[in-house]
Amino acid sequence: MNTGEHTFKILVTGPFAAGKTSLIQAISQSPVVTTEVATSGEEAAVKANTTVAMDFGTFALSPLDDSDELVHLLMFGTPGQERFRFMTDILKADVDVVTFVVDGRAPATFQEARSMLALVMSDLRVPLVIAVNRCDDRDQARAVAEYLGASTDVPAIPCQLIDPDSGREVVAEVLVALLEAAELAVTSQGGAS
Amino acid sequence: MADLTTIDTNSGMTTPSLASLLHERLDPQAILNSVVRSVAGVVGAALASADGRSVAHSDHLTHDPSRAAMIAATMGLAGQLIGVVGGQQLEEVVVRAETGYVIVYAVGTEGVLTVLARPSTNLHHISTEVRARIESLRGVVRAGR
Repeated sequence: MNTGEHTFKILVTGPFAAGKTSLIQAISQSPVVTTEVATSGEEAAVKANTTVAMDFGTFALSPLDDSDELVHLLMFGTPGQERFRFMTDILKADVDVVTFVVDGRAPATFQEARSMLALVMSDLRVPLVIAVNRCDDRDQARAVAEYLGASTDVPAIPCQLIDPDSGREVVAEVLVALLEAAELAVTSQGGAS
Repeated sequence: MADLTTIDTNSGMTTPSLASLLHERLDPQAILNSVVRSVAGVVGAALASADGRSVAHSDHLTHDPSRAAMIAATMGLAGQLIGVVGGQQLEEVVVRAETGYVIVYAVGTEGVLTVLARPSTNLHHISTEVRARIESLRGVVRAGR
């Protein structure tokens, strides 16, 4: 018998031009709602378009058998620039997991990423997954995550977000993180009773 | 309230000189001030890029980077929302509160114009005055890129 249906909200955030929209576009099974406009000023030299409000995509994990649960992931992507930080504050409400995207080949953004990460997680008690874009090496991804101030139990995934297969690896880690958090919740509930 | 479609020569308003018209064409703040002056009830106007950078604002408004970003986010979402009614090109967003209006106009695809107005303001008049200046504002936004 099907034990149920679960919907999880994922916040996809990180600095400007990290690959947040690419991640959602790579893995969403529904047409992605994007709010991209032409980039202006010096940011135009980095990329042509930028998200100004949010991205939205979905991912569903179909049950393997009758005893399995149906899992829906709702992905909410934020803009990257400091001036849009209020959108992150809006979108982070009731999230179940945070995916923080950083461009592994843009070390100039790491310091800002570090403070962004600290800020976004400061009032959240949910699992965190770090996706290090444009990176092939696990050790390097781990080093970047550590530089961002993430503890060693936070998964750091090297990925190439222009490739959908790479995006699915990030989703797999997100699902594992959700599962572990759910197990932890059940264990602590069991311990309390 | 003055009828803006007719020129009242006794109102004390002087015909703008060619020099001031040319100045207005080039100076975004002058264009925004003229929007404020042209419609009773309008209290401010601000121009920003579509990606949320403040370009210029009328006198009496303060420089506020977060306002530009909020406006850009609003237009970004509204641009998606018009798909619900099969729309392609977003024209304007009207936000109404008991204290007044925030009206945002698309300035091409690269800019956004915000007009702040009191509750009694005639929105049609604002729209007419804005349309008359939209090409100049587009030029300003393009030049600033």
